[in-house]
Amino acid sequence: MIGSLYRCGPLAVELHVSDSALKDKVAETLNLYTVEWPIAGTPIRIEVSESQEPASMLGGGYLTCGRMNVDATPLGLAATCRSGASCHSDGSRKNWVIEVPRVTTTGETVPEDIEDLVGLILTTGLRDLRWVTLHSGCVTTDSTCALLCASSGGGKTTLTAALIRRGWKTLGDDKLLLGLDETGDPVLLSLINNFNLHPNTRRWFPEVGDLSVLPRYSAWTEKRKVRVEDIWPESMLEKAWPTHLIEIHRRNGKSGLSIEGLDTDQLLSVLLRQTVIPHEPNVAREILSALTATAPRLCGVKLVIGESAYRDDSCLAALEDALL
Amino acid sequence: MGEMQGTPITQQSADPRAISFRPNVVATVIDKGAVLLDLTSKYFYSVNSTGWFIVESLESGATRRDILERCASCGMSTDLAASVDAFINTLEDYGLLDAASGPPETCDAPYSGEWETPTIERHREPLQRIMASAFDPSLPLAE
Repeated sequence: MIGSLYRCGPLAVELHVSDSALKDKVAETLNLYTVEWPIAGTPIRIEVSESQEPASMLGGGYLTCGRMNVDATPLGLAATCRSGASCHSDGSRKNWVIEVPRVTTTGETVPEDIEDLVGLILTTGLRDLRWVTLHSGCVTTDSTCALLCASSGGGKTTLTAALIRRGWKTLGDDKLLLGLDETGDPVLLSLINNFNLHPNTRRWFPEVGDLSVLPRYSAWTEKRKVRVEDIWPESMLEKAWPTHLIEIHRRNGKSGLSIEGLDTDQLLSVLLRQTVIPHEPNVAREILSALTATAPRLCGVKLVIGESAYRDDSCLAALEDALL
Repeated sequence: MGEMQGTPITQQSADPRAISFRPNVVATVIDKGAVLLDLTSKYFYSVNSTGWFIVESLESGATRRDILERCASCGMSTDLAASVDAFINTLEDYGLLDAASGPPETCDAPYSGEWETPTIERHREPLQRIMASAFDPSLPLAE
């Protein structure tokens, strides 16, 4: 097996897999991380092989996800998924083996769970480099850089797109890295320059075109993956220093928007919910430390936004006034 | 309540058991206090600076009397000793403490500033226990 190399932010992932279907699936996930970092990547090795039997679900003592449980063992991390696919690392957590059963418990030939396993491998590597992974969007202009926080489907991408159309730039819509720079200031870095857009986005932003002709991003969503620069050229940035946090509450069927401030405790609560914190004290402490150092540096805003506001210049101008 | 050699004594300080935080409780310092996160329950807490001073003692294990002695040595007046007991009681009520696994260790971290009543506030909603994925802390979608 000859290894294929993928750059995923600060990681250099070497993939070894002989089955072409499995390779395509793993590569699909690795190729999401399209922002090239100008540094030599920390090597991570992934070997994918076939197993005879589906793996039994682990307890999830380290991390419990919807379709994947992860345990920490003296030998490294181990994860199992509902399909019976599994992975485990060595003690360094830099060398991983993904095993895909010939017959999965879910009947899939190439299970969707592989994306979860690859995500675990990448986030582990990123945390080992002291980055905090954030499931947030980010928009920036002049001296303002705002983290956009909402649950999946809660409007991060839509608001990002609305502000891009007004001249803002973005670091991404749902996967960012947070760290502390050499002066101890929080800094955000981009990982992905694609958006996951629902075909309905067209009714606000006709320039996205008919997204329904594209393949779905995953089996669990109607969204499609699109390259941001193909729709909004020169809108991507790679690095920014956050100044604000916006907690987004979308109200379907409503119009307009309302803005109110968040106090420090509320802001910290929102920020803590933007990341996965494994059930391992040393790892959790690092994450908590970075987030509590970041929270006091941000000005927090709670935004309740109706559907029509994304195309309403007066509403978006009001939001900008609150941020600038 | 009485005093012996400058150390305030409360009824609870007679308890000889050493207590400490459970291993799954992590803490990080912030300006004027600290944030605690219980990895089991996923609740997180904010404590003020005097609360953090007490928390530091408990990280390596201490008896209630040890803690009162430390607090008194840092300027706590005897009439505030009951507030220290009350603070520790609240930590116990939140399930953050356990019997110390070994002999208590001396904690020498200093305290600066004016002594105030230790406080702890539990944030209303715990963090998510089950994630959508290793990158996404949202609630998983129903299949």
